[in-house]
Amino acid sequence: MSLLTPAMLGLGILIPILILLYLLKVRRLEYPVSSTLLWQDLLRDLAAHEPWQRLHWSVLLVTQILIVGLVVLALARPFFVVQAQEAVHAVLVLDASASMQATDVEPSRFEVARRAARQTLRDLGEGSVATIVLAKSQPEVLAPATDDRQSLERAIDAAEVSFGPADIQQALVLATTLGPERGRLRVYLFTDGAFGELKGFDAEGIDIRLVSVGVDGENQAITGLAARPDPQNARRFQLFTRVRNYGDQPARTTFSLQVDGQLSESRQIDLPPGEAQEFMFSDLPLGAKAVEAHLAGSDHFPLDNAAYAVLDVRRSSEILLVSQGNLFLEKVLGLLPNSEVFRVAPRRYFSIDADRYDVVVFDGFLPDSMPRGSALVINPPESSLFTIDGELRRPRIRHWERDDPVLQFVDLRDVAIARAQRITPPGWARTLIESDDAPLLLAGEHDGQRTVIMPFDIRQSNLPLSAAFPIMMANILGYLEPGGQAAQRDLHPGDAITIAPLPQAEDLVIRRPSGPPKTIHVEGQPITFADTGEPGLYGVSQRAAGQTILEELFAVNASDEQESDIRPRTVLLGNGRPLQAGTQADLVPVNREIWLWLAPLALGLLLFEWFWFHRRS
Amino acid sequence: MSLDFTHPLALLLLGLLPAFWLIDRASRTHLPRRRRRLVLWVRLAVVLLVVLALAGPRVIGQADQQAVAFLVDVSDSVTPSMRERELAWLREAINGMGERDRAAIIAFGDQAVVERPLSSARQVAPIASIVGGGQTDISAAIRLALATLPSTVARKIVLISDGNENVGRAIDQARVARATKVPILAVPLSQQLGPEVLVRQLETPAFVRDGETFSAVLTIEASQDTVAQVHLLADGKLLSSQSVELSQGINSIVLPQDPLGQGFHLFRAQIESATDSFVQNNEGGSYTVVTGRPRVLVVESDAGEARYLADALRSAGLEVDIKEVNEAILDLPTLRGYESLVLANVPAAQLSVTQMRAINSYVQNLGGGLVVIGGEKSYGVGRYNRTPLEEALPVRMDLRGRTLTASVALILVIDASGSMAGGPGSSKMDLAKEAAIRATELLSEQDQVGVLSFDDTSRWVVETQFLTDPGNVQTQIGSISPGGGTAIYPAVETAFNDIVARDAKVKHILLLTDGLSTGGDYETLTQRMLQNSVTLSTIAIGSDADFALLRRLADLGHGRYFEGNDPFEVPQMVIKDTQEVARAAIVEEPFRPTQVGASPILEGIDVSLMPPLLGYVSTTPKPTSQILLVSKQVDPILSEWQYGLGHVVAWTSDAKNRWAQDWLTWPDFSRFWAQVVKRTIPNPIDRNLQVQITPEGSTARVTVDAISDDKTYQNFLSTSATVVDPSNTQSQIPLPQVAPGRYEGRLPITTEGAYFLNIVQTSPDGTLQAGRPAGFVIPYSAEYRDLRANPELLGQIARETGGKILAEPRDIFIREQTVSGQPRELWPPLLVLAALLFLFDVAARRLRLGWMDAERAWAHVLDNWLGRARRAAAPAAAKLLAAKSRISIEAAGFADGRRGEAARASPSAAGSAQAVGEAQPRSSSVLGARLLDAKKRAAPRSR
Repeated sequence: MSLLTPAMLGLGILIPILILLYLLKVRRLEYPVSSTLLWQDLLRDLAAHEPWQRLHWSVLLVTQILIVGLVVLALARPFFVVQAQEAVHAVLVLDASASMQATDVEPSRFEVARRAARQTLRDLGEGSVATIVLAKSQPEVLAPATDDRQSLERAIDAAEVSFGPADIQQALVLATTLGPERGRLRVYLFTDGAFGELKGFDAEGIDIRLVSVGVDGENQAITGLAARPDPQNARRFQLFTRVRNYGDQPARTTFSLQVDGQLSESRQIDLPPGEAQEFMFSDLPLGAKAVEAHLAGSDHFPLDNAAYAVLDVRRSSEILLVSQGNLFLEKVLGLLPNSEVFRVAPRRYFSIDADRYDVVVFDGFLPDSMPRGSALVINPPESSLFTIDGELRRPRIRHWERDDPVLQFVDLRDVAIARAQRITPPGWARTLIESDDAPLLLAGEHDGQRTVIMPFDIRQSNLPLSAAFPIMMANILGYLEPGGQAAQRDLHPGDAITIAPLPQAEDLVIRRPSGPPKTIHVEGQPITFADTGEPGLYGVSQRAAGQTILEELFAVNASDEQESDIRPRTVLLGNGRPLQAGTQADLVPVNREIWLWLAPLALGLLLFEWFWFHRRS
Repeated sequence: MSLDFTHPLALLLLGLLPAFWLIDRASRTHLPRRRRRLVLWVRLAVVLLVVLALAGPRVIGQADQQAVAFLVDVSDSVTPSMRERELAWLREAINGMGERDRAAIIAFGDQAVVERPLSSARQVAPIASIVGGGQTDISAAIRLALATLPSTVARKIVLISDGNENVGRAIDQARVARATKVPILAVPLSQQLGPEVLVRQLETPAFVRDGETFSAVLTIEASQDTVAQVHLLADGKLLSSQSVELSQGINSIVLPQDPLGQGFHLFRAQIESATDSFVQNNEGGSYTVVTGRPRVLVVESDAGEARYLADALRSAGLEVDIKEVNEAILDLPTLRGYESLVLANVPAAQLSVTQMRAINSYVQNLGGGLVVIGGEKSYGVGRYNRTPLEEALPVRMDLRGRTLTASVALILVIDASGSMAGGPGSSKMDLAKEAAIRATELLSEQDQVGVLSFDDTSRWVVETQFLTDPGNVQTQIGSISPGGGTAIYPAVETAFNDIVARDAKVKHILLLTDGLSTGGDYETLTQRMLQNSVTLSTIAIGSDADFALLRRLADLGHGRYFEGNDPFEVPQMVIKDTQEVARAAIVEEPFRPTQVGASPILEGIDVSLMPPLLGYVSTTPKPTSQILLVSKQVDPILSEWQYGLGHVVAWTSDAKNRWAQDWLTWPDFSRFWAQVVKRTIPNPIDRNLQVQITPEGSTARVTVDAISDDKTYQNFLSTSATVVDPSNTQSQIPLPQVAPGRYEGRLPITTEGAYFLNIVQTSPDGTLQAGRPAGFVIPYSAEYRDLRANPELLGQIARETGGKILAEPRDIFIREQTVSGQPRELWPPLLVLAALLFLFDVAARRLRLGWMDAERAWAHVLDNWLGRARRAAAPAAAKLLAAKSRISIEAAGFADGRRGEAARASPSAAGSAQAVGEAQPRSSSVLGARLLDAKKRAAPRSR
């Protein structure tokens, strides 16, 4: 046994002082009495001038010495060297992928992992620090390295499982870069192993321990549900769906399909292990808005037993063309599906309410203040939006951003332009088509509204005659048109969705699959809505002056081919070696303090001493 | 500042406190009441302290330390000189940190590593961590910093970067930093880029036909005027090497290529320049798929019509099938086998409506090419008007509303003999009238029309006049009534005499009769007609017409001869003739075409050297067509447009030895026609199998849309892609169906360069359904492309986290925020206090100290202080007095049964006699008071 703070033994001086107290005579109270005859002994004592008395050993004295001794000893912090877990820097990586929601272990894999993590924390050697890393699509550090067990446990309590895949590899790389300055690094990975192998991670030289959760991968899932308009009739939709059995046993389940809440199909399907069945439904009723599919049955992963799809029926958008007359523009805009084109001459522009149009196309004209909607600006005059610096003669198209959605499938090789305005690109815009020294197409968000600038008169080019023109205009208008939330693909729970409100919308009311609707006040700016934790169909109503002006739906689906495969697997490292399950820690000599045991002892002695003192007459 | 307990459960031991109280209540000790109460409270305090100590209380106060993580950008866009500035800045900052501050350094590029863990050392070595500089991932650095910094001290992140982020989204990670209250201070590195030459793009056509030449276009950006060596490699073999002069900005270099063999070809362009900083951006990749030779179907009206054209196309490397229109099978399945269809002088009459619909659909929906070559039987003459074929053409046959150069005078000579009154159903006369009315509909204002009816004599039903009032003319035609014999010759002569004086480019007489006529000098008449450019067509109706005569008349009159037993065909025949003669507006005069538009068709062809053409068919361009060549009268000669998915070229002259006889010897004849046809040839990809490849980080999403010819989705196909990556490794990825007609999969991206995919679809029974090649190029890292610094991003990150743009290194360690610090254990002081109180507890029980003792002690203290002062004043006298007083104090102290103060006081030379004198009376008077007090207390008790 050694002492951590031996200096505290100096307080041992209290013991002689205590004994001194016993050497001093007890002072008697003075009572006037008639005779001292009976107290001769005491009187002699009093009469003596000596203040000392002989030390009488008593139970009290011994107890008191013990108490003081114990306290002093505790303060000196004695410790024994024992064999115990060494102090490490433990990084606890919790897999928060959707498959951790599986219920093959009670109450769920994630809960079991959480418990295991808490236990691991408790089992860590004295003086260890720990970091909690939650592996989601991006690793998140829930608690940075600390030895504060409470804050670590709080972090584990606060951890939430996600609805998507987790990037385990990135989480492990993060864990291993945390550095050894807080003691030897040891990584614990709590996972069901339901992810691909860790290709770029070989764990060489890293103490990494696997804590597996999950026992059974019985799961049937709807892994795909998607609708597209019939190519022959854009108003009629076709629906594709796939149901897969991920388990090792044949499964029989009932698949049902609801269209706008009405049951339209129900069939029993038998699935051999590992097999999938695909179905097409081409007789959806006209005008149907949304479909949901359900699988009956009780597998271990109910999350993927439902899927939702919104039929992509887009509201027709209203386009205002402000032009002196431009046949090409009128024609190409008229060809756009789902849009209505209105025309106005520039001189009459100010007499109409341009704010109510979704997209305004300015041809050779630009007002001082832009409308609330998005805008396509063609061959503009000088304005506050940008500066025009002369004219380009026969600019050659040097480069265009083929990958940008606006120029997708657009081939500009044959396009020649006679003259264009030389525009200095404003900061908010990105250049999509470049000539030698000035942009020929710009796009960006100006004051929250999407704006595209085409700084040349299309009639001064052969662009309208090229095959690229209708494609490019459809792309541009597709970029500018608001709405179309339903078109956003692969929306998983927790994903944020950006909703571009109509120019005249005042409020957005978002209906969730359950719970009260949420109202967001909007001012023309796009809204990001991330409260999509629950799979299902969400409704978005845009309201103005108490009226609903646009009603749209979007679907959030939890199904995911990879996450639906919840079979627990061994984790394969980059070098092909499987990750070993966690083994018991090697014991190392550590200091075990015992003050915590000395203090209760002292407390007991205090009680005894108190009792003894008071029982004595 | 906050308090918490490590073992809060120990607080339950506080439940022992009542036990102490109960023991005290049952006490049989004879301590005085006040003393007992004091002792109880002291004891409870001791127990409380011990229990509290057991619970492990800790105070978490404000941190007085700071931990700062410096994120140092070591990506390649940070040049060595910028790095030196980084290091200097870092050194100055770390040197300025406080005693208790610590700094960590994290180096980041394509990943982030801890260069130096948190430490208080002030020395900063140059960055030694090995981090790939090919990318900049600021978010990884922030993430690592947040994980590295302990939460118990004030934390800050200092981001030193040029902000040129190209992996991850730092702004998202900044939001995490804000949530954990870690401000990010940004230090933008201004840029000092050296001279730079970089490849922006290498472009080759994605698909070329076997035997076709093409060009690679290399786009190079240079920061200044310089010279560079350009190497082009195909499939790893050097094709060409040349020195080019580059001017500042973007330079396009066109590198013409020879035809390549069929298959997938990988191109790489490399540039070398003396004035360059980065070599990583000196390479560009591209791919080209060479597919089989395009097949062209040439359909001609008569054998030999397209002989010259077919030869020209074959010599340009096209595979040509030539068919007479009567033999050609023109339906979709057959047309699918060809890339383009050429119609050479084919009249609409020789095509069925079904065939024309098939041609239209072939162009519009399948994307096939269509070239329509004119001639005397084509376009308006060939009655393309209002046919599906006209729909697909870039020109209209309808010339209405146009100023016709070829104005028409037309006289209809109609038999009104008695036999015309008969006929099946409606009379032949009525049909003839209807035919005449339809003919006037085809004419326009500048045309003149006359209607002459004849039986035995001729009668002008409509005087020849400009067609300003078609309604009136048509009413007059309706007034013809039949009766009498048939005298053809006088009628034709009357008509000729009338028309010959008229001012019109085209003069035409149309004779319509059903019977035999008395003779006449037709030879002389037709001779005069020929001299005066008047043409004559004849229509024979019914079985008893003079067929031989009418046929001869038409021949002599350079017109057309029609005959029909079915009178219902009459209007159609009249229209045909009128169209051909009047509306078709064949313009036969030599001219040189003038170029008015640019197109790949005319690439490399000098229009001014084109031989003259001798004639063409006049047409009207459609609004969205592109006119390339025009005639003297500005009528379209060569025009093109996109029709649906396909491309259509219209040539209104011919390609044989009639109007284009001088062209046959033109050296560019073959090249011209090959370019015309190639212009219409679609990409050699299966239109029904659309492939879209979207790179997304470390994977690329491959989306395949499959549709059938009849526009229905192709479902339940097993789809996969064979991928060849830039290192020539082959792999296979499945593309499962995800939506109706849509298949999707992801392929991992390992290196930069061109990727080639071959997509194959098989039906469930294993038969091949469709396949097509596809490819995409992963360019070199954006790190070397967008070399401009992005201080805006840094500002945004700083604002998002409540940090700021930092100017001075010493500002870093200024404390601005309060953060909970390292917890401090409170149990040792608590235990010490408990031990001392316990001692007091024991003392209080044994020694019975009272107020009196305290006051006495206080008096001693006062004495000591005063004593010192006096001793200083009168040392000598004081010694004597002190010796005396010592004796008396000791006596008093002992008598009192006390020892401590007195014993200590005396050696310390406390006393002047005066002080002692004061002390004693006061203490005795206090003693007296206490005695009295005790007596008073005792009195009620004894009662």
